[in-house]
Amino acid sequence: MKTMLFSVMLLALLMLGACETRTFEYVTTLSRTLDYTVDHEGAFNQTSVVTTSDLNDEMDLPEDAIIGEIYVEALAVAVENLSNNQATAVIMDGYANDRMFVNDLVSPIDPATYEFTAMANLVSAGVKAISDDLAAYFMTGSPPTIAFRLEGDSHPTPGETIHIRITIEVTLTVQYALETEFPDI
Amino acid sequence: MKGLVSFIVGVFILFLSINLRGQDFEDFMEKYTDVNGQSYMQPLADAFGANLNSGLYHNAYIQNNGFQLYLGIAVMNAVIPSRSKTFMGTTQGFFRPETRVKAPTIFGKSEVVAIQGEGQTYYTFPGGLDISNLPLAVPHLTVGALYGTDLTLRWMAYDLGKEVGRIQLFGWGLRHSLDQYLPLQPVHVAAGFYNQQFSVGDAVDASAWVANIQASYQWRFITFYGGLGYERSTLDIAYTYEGDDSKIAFDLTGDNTIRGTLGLTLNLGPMKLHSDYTLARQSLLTLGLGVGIGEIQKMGE
Repeated sequence: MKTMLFSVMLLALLMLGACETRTFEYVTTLSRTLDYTVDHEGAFNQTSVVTTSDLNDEMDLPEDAIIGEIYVEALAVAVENLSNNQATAVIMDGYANDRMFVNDLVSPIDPATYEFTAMANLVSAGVKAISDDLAAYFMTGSPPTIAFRLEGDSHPTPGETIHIRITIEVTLTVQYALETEFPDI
Repeated sequence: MKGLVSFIVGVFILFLSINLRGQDFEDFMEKYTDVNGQSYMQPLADAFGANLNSGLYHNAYIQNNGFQLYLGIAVMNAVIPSRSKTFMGTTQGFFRPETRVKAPTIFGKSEVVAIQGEGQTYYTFPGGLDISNLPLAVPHLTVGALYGTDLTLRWMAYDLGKEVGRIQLFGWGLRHSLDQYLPLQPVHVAAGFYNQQFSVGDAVDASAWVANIQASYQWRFITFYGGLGYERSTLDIAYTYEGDDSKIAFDLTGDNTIRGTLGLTLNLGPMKLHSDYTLARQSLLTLGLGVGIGEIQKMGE
């Protein structure tokens, strides 16, 4: 009987206590907004710079995280009408470190509303380049910055007085792995 | 905070004996502040609630008036069904096009699921713990009997410091003998109701109750027992994600309702070793070990 009871207790302890090192995959998502105030007549060119180390700090990944894929999950844009603006819409190209990630993006300017919408006309190579730059930063610490540049004009009539605030929201996802002591269940 | 959320998972997985690291739970949940999070966590509510409502009896014999006592530990193991390892997740936010995809739950595969959208964008669904069992161990005391009624208590509490707070389980149950009214000998029948509350600081609040009809039959030193029950459980999780101070809150209701249990107890003198299987939407196996006094009907009673 002692043997049986001991066996039962041992079984319970093993069930509760046996651990193994396992690798779990996680994702962390970060949204960063970029602001551009355009006060210009006709074609404009504005740049907002993101410091990659800031993104890293905001993600606050565990020190022993094994970084996997880095993705751009979404890009969204909102346009706010400011005083004396004459344009009803703008048409823009967007560049990240000089690689185009959005082409001929038309954003209406509605004085009554200010809300984000998903960007249309994304350029696959440019979006991937953002991911690649971030991946390179995590691997090598370079590039230290990503410059997001917008080039545009009023639409459909170019050359109008534009006084707007453009906000771009970039949503990034980092996939990473951690090794953890975990019960064998 | 990270210590707190880590401990939440620790408690759920092994109650007190898991060695899960600091930030893991928050890492798992970070993506899920939306509707997908509810589905991601639902199987945990199902399994945890089913575990709480188990191991509550191992016979149905209750004296009319007399001293009867059982003190032991019950180890429950919810076997996670394959359907509880995935859910249909929907992409959120500005990812286009909106897509539905089969994604892992908290118990599902540990690999991240990534789907491609417009312009080389990707939406990711977090992986799970990749486990097939959720065990839970609780101490258990049943004492009686007065007018064919006994009282069951489950209690444990431990203060884990300022950051985590107090972990506490309190459960009670009342059980009344029916065979004192009905000519059912040698089968014993009782009706029981059990209610349990479980909390971890301010972050976790779980409750479970079950009402059941129990029956048992004694053959030599073996007691065969079983029961039919109706159960409900809830699991509320709320915490502040330290990344951006966003609130994460899930109010989950366990799927289990009807449960049927079959088991047997080995009466080895005062030592009781019992095991049963509960068939329900979330099925589980229970193993119990304890000391019992006055639990077997004496000849001639």
